Amino acid sequence: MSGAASAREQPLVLAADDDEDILDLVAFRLERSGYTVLVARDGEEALKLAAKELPDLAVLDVMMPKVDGFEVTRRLRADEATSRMPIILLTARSQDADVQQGFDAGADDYLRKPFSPDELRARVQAILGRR
Amino acid sequence: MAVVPSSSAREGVRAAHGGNTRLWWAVVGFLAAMWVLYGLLWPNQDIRNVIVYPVTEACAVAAVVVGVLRYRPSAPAAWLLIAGGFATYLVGDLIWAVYLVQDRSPFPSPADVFYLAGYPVIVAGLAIAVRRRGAAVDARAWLDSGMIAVVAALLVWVYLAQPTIDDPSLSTFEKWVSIAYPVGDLLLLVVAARFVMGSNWRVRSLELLVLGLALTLGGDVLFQLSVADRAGAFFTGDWMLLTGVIFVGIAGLHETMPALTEESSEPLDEGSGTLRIVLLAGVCLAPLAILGIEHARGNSPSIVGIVASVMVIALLAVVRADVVARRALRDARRESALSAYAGELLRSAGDAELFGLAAGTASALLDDGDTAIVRASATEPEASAHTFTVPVVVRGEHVADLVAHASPLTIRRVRTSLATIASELSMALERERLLEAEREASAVLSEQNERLLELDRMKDQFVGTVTHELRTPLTSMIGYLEMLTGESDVGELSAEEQQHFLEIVDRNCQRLNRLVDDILTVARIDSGRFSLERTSVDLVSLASERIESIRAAAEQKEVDIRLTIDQEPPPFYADAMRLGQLLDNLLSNAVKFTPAGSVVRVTLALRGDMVRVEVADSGVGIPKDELDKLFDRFFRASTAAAVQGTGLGLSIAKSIVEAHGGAISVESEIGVGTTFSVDLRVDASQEDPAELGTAEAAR
Repeated sequence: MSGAASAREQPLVLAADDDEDILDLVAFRLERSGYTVLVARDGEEALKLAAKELPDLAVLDVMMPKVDGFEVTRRLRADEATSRMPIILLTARSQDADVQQGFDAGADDYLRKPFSPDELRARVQAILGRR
Repeated sequence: MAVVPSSSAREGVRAAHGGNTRLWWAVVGFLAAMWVLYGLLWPNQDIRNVIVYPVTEACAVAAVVVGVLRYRPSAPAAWLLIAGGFATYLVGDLIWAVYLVQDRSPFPSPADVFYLAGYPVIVAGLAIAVRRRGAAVDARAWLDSGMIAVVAALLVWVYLAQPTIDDPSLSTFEKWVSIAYPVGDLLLLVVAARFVMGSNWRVRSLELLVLGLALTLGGDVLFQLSVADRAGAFFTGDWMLLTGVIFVGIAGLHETMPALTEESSEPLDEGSGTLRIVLLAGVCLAPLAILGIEHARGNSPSIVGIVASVMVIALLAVVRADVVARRALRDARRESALSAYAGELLRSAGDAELFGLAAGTASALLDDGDTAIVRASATEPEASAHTFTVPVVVRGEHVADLVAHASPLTIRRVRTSLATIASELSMALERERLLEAEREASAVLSEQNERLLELDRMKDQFVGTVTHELRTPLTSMIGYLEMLTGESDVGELSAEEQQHFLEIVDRNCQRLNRLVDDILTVARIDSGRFSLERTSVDLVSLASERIESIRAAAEQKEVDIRLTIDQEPPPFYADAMRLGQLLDNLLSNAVKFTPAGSVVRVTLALRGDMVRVEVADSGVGIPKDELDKLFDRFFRASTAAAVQGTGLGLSIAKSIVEAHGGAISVESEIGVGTTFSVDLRVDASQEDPAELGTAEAAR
């Protein structure tokens, strides 16, 4: 993975959300900060893209059609190729149990909807900057 | 006299009752006066015996006849025969009065014929009473009367018959006539004893009758003794006889007199009272006492008579002991059967089983060949001496009958037990009903509980979904606005970008607004504040308008919406805002579930006075077993998981359609699509017929 990532000029981010407007919001804000953004409209598409493009980071909505964000996270972690990919979960569900479930699934960070686009950018930057 | 229909009738009864009492006391007073007069006339034998005695007797006989006419006993023969017996005496007395006037006292005379004829007549009357009162169940009544009869016979033999036979001054014919009297007394004594011992005679009229018969018997015996001994008890015997006749007369006129021939309850002491045992002990010892007394007096009584009577009494006593033992054994068996039955009832369940148990227990109490069944109460109970029917009543409802077929004697013996069996069956059935009701109540409760839990779960889910649905547009609004306001470090935005972002914010505002509307509508429906504001609605233009408003969102999904108008419905009275909301719900659902590149078809068709709106998508479809729950609030089809929604839209749609008096239905096939059909009556408005007329004209 590091080979593919380091070969890129700009970090590649996978964004997945079933709501078109939110997906556009995430993509726009991250592209403005110099990231290349891949978009997926459901969990299945997200998994496909992640396996194919091996992005540097994934921003996943939890309540997505077909495969939800928790499950996408688990599957990414289970796959050797993507097991170390940083994952930020976005969700409108805000109970503590949900947050816990997200971390249990293997997420690195967790952002509650509605969120500030700047904050998302800052968190993505923080995680990728550490590397 | 259980039910008295009206106050006037009640007063009538009271008046009659008062009349009865007054008449009775008047007769009692008159007879008492005659009785005193008889005593006062002691020195004047002629007037006393020729006038006062027969008049008193006639009055007593007449009192009984009046009583029979007045109170109409079920079997008047008993009282009439008793009265007849005394009337026969009266005839004898009248004949005797003629002899007295002539100062003659022939013996035997025609008067004796009537005196003697009186006994069997009275005995016949009493026998009818014994039979009607029906206490023939208990053999002890006969056995005890028999023992008394034996002693009485011995007494008659020793003190009356033997001295008469030994009297050399009497001819054989005279001896026979003389002996006939005590034999008649003996007969009367046996039947009277049987009457007293076999039934409950503690009724005023019967008490008076028993007292009257006892006095008559006593007076007669005294009279005979006075004749036999030629002693001076002549007057006492006569007076006592007269007293007896008076008591019989007032007994027959007392208002309780019909009791003589009514079925009686068990005798008071049931044949085991202390008084009765003492009496029987006296009876057993009497022959020996007579032997002792006569021996002490230097007489030599008939040893044969005494030995024979002792033997007969001993035999009867043995039989009596056996009867008592058998009865005790039978009672014990019955008790144990009844208590076993009570226990079995507690362990059994179901009407059929309980009925069978009751019938079985009842049969066991009857004799071989007798039957007992429990049957539903529908059939008319058959009334016969061989059938005994006890109703089984549960909470005032006559549910069944316990019917026993047996001999009248057996029925009399077990009827109390049969009543017990029936009443315990009633209680067991009642308990069954209660348990059943309790089971039903608890089933209802647990069902309700289940439903509440389900509702609670759905509500939790709803809150989660609503939260998610509210936050989704908010996320876009807040996110884009943050970038638009310049608070963000996103940098400069082009005019195009700004315009695009504002459109997104606007769209999400509207989405949020719709969602809040839905939630508000649900709240209105819940609190009963959901009402229609009817105006004239043109459904075609309304549908076109709603389709256009959603077309942008549909095109974004590459879904086309086509409206087909089969036959244009006329304008009709409805709530335009609500119908618009209904169409929005159905259309947005159809668009949501239709895959890109497909078409949502909307059809308007008029059939008679009904307009049908169909919204058909070519989406995932809905499983058949979920269709009937589809319009339930918060319910979301399993195939809808991929699409966001509150589960409110269709329940609101249904409420709107039903408020208009219409119907909504759904057909669906998995993988093919779903069609919602709304049927509305175009002349639905009953509020404004004039306006409807305009609508009709416009068509």
